[in-house]
Amino acid sequence: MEGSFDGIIIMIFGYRLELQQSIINWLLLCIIFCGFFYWAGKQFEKADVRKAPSGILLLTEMVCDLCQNILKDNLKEKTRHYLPLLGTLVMMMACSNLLGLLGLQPPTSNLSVNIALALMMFFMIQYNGIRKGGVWNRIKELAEPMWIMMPLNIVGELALPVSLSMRLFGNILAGSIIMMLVYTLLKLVMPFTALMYIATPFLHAYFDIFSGLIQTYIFFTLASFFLSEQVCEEQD
Amino acid sequence: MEFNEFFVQGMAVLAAGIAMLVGIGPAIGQSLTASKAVEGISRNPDAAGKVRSVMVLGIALAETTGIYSLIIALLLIFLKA
Repeated sequence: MEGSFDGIIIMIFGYRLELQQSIINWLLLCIIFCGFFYWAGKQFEKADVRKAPSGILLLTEMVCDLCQNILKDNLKEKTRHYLPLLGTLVMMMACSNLLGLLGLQPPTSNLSVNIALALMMFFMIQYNGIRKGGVWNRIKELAEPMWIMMPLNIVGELALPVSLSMRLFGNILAGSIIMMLVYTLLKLVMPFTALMYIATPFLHAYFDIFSGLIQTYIFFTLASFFLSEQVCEEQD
Repeated sequence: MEFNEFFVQGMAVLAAGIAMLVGIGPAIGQSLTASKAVEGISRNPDAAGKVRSVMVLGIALAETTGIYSLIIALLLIFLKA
C-alpha cells in the first residue's frame, strides 16, 4: 500500500501519523465552516431585527431551518437542545458528501470518519439513557421483557453504530468507485470521450447529490429517533 | 490441484461475485415499497408528499443489506485479490 498512499505523513516523536486525502478534506471543511459561521455570527450581532434578513443572514437561517426540520420529527420539544451538535453534523456531512462534485474525495468514503460520527451518536444515546434514571434503570430496560432477552438487546444496541457507519460508508464509497471507473473508461476511449461526457452529469446527480443527501437524512433521522427514545417522555 | 496464491485470488474474486447476489433481496424489497407507495398515493393523492418522504426513507433502509454485501465484496477484492 506504500505506493498508492496520497496524503501527508507527519512524524511526531517517532510516531508515524498518516493523514489521508479524505481526512485532509474533512479538516479543510472544518476550517471553512468555522470561518463562515464566525463571520455569520458577527453579521447577526450587527443585524437589524426589524428588517427582513438578506444575503448571508437569509442563507444561514434557511440552513438552520432545514436542520431543525430533519430533527423535529423525532426529537419534538427537545430539538433546540440538540440542534447545535446534530445540526452542525448535518451540515458537515451534507457538504462532505457533495465534495465528490468538485472532484475531491468525499471524507465520508473513509471508514474512520463514519465510525467516529456513529460512535459519537452511540455514546450520546447511551449517556442520555443512563442520565435519565441511573445505571440500574438502564440495565433493567435492557432486560425487557425477560432476563433471557438481555444478550439480544445488547447486540441490538451495538448494531446501531455498525449499521449507521456501514450504510453511509458503503453508499458513498460505491458512488466514488463507480465514478472513478467511469472516468477511467473515459480515458481509455479517448476519441469518443466528448460523447461520453453527456452521461457523467446524470451519474454525478445520482451518486453525489441524491445518494449523498438521502444518506445524510437517513443517518440523522435514525440517530435522532434512537436519541428520542431515551430523551423524550413517552406519550400515550 | 494446487492451492497456491493464485487459487486464493481467483476464489476471492468468485466469492465477491457470489456475495453480490444479495442484490436480489433489496431489489425485491425496494420494488414492493415503491408499488405500495404508488397504491397509497392513488388512493389518497393529498398525502402524496408524506408518502413520498416515508417511501424514500424505507427504500434507503431496505438498501442496507445490499450495501453490507457490497462492503464484503469490496473487502474480498481489495484484501485478497
